[in-house]
Amino acid sequence: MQSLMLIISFLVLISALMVILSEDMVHSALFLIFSFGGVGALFLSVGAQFLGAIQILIYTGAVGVMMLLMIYFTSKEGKSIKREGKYSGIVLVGLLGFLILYPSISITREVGGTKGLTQNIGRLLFSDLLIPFEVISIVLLSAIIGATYIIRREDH
Amino acid sequence: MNLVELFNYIRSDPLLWGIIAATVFLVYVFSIGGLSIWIERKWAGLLQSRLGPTRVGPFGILQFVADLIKLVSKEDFVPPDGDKKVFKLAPIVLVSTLIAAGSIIPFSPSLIGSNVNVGILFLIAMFSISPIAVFMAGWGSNNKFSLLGALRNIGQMLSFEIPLSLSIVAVVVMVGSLRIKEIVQAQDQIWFFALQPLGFVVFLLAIHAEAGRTPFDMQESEQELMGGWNVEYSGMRFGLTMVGEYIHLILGSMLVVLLYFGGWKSFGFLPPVIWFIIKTNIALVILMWSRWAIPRFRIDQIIDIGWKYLLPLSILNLLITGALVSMGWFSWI
Repeated sequence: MQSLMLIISFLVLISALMVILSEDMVHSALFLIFSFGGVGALFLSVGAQFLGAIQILIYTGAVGVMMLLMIYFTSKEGKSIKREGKYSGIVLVGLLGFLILYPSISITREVGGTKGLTQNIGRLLFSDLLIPFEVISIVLLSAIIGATYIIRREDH
Repeated sequence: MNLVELFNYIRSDPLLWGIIAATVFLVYVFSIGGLSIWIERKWAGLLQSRLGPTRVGPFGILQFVADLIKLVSKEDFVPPDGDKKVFKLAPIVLVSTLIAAGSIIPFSPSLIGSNVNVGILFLIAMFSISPIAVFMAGWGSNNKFSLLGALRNIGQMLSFEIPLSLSIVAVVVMVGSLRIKEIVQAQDQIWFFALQPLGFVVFLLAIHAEAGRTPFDMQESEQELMGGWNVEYSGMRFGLTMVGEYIHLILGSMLVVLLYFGGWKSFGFLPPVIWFIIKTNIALVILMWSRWAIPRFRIDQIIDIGWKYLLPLSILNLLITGALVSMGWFSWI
């Protein structure tokens, strides 16, 4: 299992590097999707099965397809990667990364071994982490309402 | 090291055992897939007053072998203006994820690749990767028809995955476990299609649309799109896309049997594995039936079925199931 984990980590890192190195936008997206899937496999290999399956389902399946569709619908030439707002983007990603990384490290420590099984995650989500869980669902709801509003406004 | 020791060694290593289970599933799918192609062609002939294949072997039963040889020996054409690497990789991604999904299917209480804790969720996760493979095929072909077919396929898969998952969740809520083995064992007294009629109908329609079979095959409608996202493929790569479609269908019929018709639960006088295979093939034939009986829907009709009917129905089914479970109606399961 240890060697399997090493191989997967190596593949994830290589494909994450290829996301920024490859010049074709679709290739970047596909490498990113592959690294999402690799992270899911990492979760599976440490025994956090629920997290692994959800990672593959949400990131590889849903987010990945959305990303590919967005590239298809928005890019006129299909190939060029725009570099506007690079520095503000880096700052934003750094801040967001810190915000996301800090709790996720502690969560990863929590879910290793048998703690990552479905029942335990469910118990955690609906007892200790109930308020964050509900807040996240409200954030998602507001995002959906916002997207619908933007589409409607362009209609009329 | 004798055979028993070797078997026990392989059994104790989850990685080795998983690889072997996936290989067994692959062999099963190829043989059943070939056979089901023959059954489908014969039956299509029957329904349309033709004979179907007759020349190769008795009753044309070896026709799929001839088809396979033809596919292998044909030129593997790659469109020169397309994205070659992505084009070549797409069928491999499609088939390998579906085979990985097959490695957790329990054929009998003991014959099971990986009895993972998340079970059915892993299967849905593997299903959710196939739109990416389809997009890769459509994009790599550099062809309007392929890309249109791929986009239709993705829209359809995304809209039907939600009712599919919600109808599975209703079963999971009833059983209280995601493990497919425990879902089957819970059907000791009564098969779940009797307890979940609404969920069963939603699941059947959604799995039909997921596999992209004829009433729902907007993505590869021959008359408008010349065959959809796999139109540029030839040779064995085209064969792999067809195999992917059939594995989708076989996995779908296995899920129907496992979730709603008691899996390997038997009426005696045959081992459970045989019962599971018999039930799966009955479900497979019924799933294939509609291809020759019902004409194709329009794309707006398909999206309407997904979002306006199946999604509310599956939510309603989940609500009813949840209410009954919380009132303790299914405590005997």
